[in-house]
Amino acid sequence: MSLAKILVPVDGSDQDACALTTAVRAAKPFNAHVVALLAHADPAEAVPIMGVPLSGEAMGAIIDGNTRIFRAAAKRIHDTVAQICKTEGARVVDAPLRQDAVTVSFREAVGYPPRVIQAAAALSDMVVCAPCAGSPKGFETAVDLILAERRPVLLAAKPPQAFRKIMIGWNNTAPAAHSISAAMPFLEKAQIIELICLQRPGAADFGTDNVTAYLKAHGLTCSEVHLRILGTALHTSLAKSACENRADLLVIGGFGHSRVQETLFGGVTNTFLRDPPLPVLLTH
Amino acid sequence: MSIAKILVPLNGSRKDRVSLETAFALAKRLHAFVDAVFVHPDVREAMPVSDMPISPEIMQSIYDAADAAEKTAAKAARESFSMAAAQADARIVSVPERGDPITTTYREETGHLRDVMDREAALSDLVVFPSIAGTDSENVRQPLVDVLTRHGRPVLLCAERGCKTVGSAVLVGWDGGRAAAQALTASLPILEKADAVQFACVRPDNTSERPLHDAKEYLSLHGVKACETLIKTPKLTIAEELLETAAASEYDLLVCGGYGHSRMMETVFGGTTDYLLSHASIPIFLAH
Repeated sequence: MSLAKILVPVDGSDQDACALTTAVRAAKPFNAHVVALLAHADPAEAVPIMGVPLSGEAMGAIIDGNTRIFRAAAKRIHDTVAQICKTEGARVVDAPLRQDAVTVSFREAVGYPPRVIQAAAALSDMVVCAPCAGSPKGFETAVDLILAERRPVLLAAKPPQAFRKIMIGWNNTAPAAHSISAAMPFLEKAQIIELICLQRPGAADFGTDNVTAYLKAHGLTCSEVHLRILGTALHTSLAKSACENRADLLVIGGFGHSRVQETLFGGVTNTFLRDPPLPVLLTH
Repeated sequence: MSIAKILVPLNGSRKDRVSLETAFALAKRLHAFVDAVFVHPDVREAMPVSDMPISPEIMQSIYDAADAAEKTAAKAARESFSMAAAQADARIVSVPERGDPITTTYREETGHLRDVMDREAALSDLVVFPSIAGTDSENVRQPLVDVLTRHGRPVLLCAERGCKTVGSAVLVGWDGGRAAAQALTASLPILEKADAVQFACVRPDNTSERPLHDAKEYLSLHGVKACETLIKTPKLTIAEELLETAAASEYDLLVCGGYGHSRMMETVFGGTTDYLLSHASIPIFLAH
């Protein structure tokens, strides 16, 4: 299967460029369409409801102020998109279109942003999110996309020119299996696929026959690396392994452990969401 | 998502033939690998546990009967598989391959269907279940519901009778819900190869969250042209309207979201999915 529609939630901040560049480069082998979606609340909703009613001018000022902010964000995004399309050889289009090159369209949607993004994500092949270190709202949205909408989320970071070498973090769980199915379009175009088997120290090793058979059914072969590490060091080991081996993409299951566990003990998923050292494709 | 590995659990009954026929028909269209697995519980589970002592002779005869039944079932499953594979010109292999002619494998697993699915469903792209028409039994439906909801894998429910083709004329039920969207994205490999794709929208005014227009736009980005049929004032329930539309125009596959509403709501108000499962007249592709 190929990728045809990649969603990139944008907000006019500096992070947009990284997310959009990653999306466009991911789209290249498939001539996919990238939708830059700016979701924001209705400016009128910013008017606070207080005991004392605001004067007409005050309300007007608040609404106008917010409208200006959103308009400025939209302009910044337009500029970023134009810049990236020029550099990467993609085309800006008004509406989603299938062409013989990567196309990018801009969409502005008014509504409760998380819900708008979720609804758009449901009908997309993948969502590219900027790292969420500075943005708790972005973090929650990404988490929802991974867990509730169960769409593959590609965390943007240092986008490579092409996704040639892909490493898969494999721990024999269902989210890891789903991450492999979700990554199929990338895996099919990759030159090297490496399976990092994350064996728990002290526990019996799980075999890799099942996962290699699954990959073979898709016409793919992979090499294997076995790592035995403790849970707390998992994130660092994965990141280190992927960077040392110059992987272009890391594929892992998202939220393999319960959210409570991850919130309390800092999980692999949470840590990657905040600051991915390379592009990471997360699926639950 | 691509559909390259289709899991078909078998139980030694005559329904295996329909499951396999349906699976191979779809596999041929998608060049997918068919993983046929005969599942049977451990024979020792047939031993009764009772307060009253049971003589060793009776225990042995119960065991022997169970063992004999299991061997008959295994033999029947193996025969159904050989016949179906031969009819589909599929090559029997030990390691999956992608290509033409399609490849397939047969193996036997001991355990309950639910536990075997726990192990196998995650690394499969689609699980095929035999028809459960005419039964309201929760137990019969449970493995299918588990694969859909707990394992998050799409399911292909067979009709009572086998079919020559699956996926050439596809009807997609659309209600703007999340499950419907999952079903659409999961069934893309089938829709891309179909000769005709049609959306059926019962009560189209309710689809505002994910309007039909967005769904059609998504499909057209994947190169799939779909038409639509809007049922504004349905005379029957959603499930009945969908099945009737499917039968009227000879579709050979219905794609829809399964259990889009909470299970509690479905139990109280009678669910669309439950009705579809027990009255499937054509194969149904479900995702959650």
